[in-house]
Amino acid sequence: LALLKTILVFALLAATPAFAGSLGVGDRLDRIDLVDRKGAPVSFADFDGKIVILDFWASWCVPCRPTLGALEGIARRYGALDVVVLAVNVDERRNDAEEFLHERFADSAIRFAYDPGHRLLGEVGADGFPAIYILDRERTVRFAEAGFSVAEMAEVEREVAHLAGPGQPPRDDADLVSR
Amino acid sequence: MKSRIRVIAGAFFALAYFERTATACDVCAVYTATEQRESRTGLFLGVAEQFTHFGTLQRDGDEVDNPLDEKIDSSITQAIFGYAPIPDLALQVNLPVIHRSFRRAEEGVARSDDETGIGDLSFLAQYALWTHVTEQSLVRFTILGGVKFPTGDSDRLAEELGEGHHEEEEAAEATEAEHHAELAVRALSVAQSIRFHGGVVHGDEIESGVHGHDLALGSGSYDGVFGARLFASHDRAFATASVQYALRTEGDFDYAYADDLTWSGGPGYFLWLEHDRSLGLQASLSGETKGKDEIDGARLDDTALTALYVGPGLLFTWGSSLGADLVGELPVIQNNTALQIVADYRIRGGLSWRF
Repeated sequence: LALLKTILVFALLAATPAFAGSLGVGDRLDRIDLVDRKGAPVSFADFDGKIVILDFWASWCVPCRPTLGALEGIARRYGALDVVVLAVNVDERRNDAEEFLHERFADSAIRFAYDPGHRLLGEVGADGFPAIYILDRERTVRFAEAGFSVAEMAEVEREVAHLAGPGQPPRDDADLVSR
Repeated sequence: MKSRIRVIAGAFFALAYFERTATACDVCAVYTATEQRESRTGLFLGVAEQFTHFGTLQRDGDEVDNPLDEKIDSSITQAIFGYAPIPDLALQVNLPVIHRSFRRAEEGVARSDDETGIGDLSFLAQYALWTHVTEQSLVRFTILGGVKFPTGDSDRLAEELGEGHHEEEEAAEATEAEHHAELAVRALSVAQSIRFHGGVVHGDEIESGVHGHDLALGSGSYDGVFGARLFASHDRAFATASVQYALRTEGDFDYAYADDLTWSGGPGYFLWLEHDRSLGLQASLSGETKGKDEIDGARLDDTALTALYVGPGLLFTWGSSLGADLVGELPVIQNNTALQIVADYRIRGGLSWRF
């Protein structure tokens, strides 16, 4: 019996990958089924050939706010270089998110979307909030982190600049962490 | 004394460290540890263990002598295989592996033995009915239901047929002469119990508090399971509550375990919260209440129990993948009928991984 128990525990631990969260760097995200603020479907077909920064956020998540502010700056600076920021809200009630967006992001370069039934969030298995994934043009994850720090946002921008290739984005630091 | 001071100082500094490294967004970490973890789609695996030491004999709620040191050490290890097709729904199969080593009175002498094997497999579905999150609080309410299948060995239930303690049957069959004979046996029992230093005797044998229904690995019945779970947090404080009702049917040897209601929960506090990991300390209260089992419709008087346990518990999560808990409990209330062996302590723990 002790042997059986040991096997059970080790089978569980052996199946444990070395990283937390199911979608990690090097994985591919093949599809997304989201809806925009007007209810229209949003899929990868809308971002063909573009670099996508996927950000999971909620209105109750205080660190998500400076993250969105920083991503607004990146969206403005790198939009011309085929970089899209797709901010996916996971609030239970859309009204909470809409209220927040109306107040702070009325005129935004970010594409906001909703994740019906949290299907995408469930598949991605984010390990904290906010959760940011950078997908290259082939939909391979090149960056995956949770939580907010200024250093992490700088890392996001470095990775985006690297993926976007040559071309200097216009500087516009006013949006960074200002909202 | 020095070692005790070291332990206390260590605990103080550990708490201070946890506090210093805490994230600014407690609800984000709590959300990751609960809602996000339990909403992940795909495969999940787990192991859960419950070890209980039964070593006290009680008759109708009062402790009696245990001259033969009767006991049961019961270990139930559950292997959990689950799949969540959508974030709100999870399906799981629980396969228990049971080991019970025991010592009991058999034909007047103490005899030790053990019983090992798989128990009754159950299939459960859980559905997250309601979730509410604000900047400071989170509430998640889940319901569950399922079926328990008769996969465990129920042979030990056959012992119940020979115990002859069916109270309704006895009442129906007792004649006046038998009643007088029973009085005589009781008188003999009293005399023998004095001789056995207060030990409990029945007729010319020591009556055991370890019964076949305590040892059986399975029931031989298909049973329904229904329940609900609630998690609520505010800042770093949290509380959990879960309740489960088992609707039992008649199984092998015409034996029907009584329906039972189990519950657990209690208040707690997150000592450590980061965006991707958490450690909570909980004051756990748990218990169960169960009526009398039946054989072929006749009630068995040594099978009903209501118990309440309390003790500390630890809950740990890592990201939205790993969850672990450990609870040590002592019984504070154990109201039983007739003569039964009851728990002295129990330890519960679990480990689960969501892929």
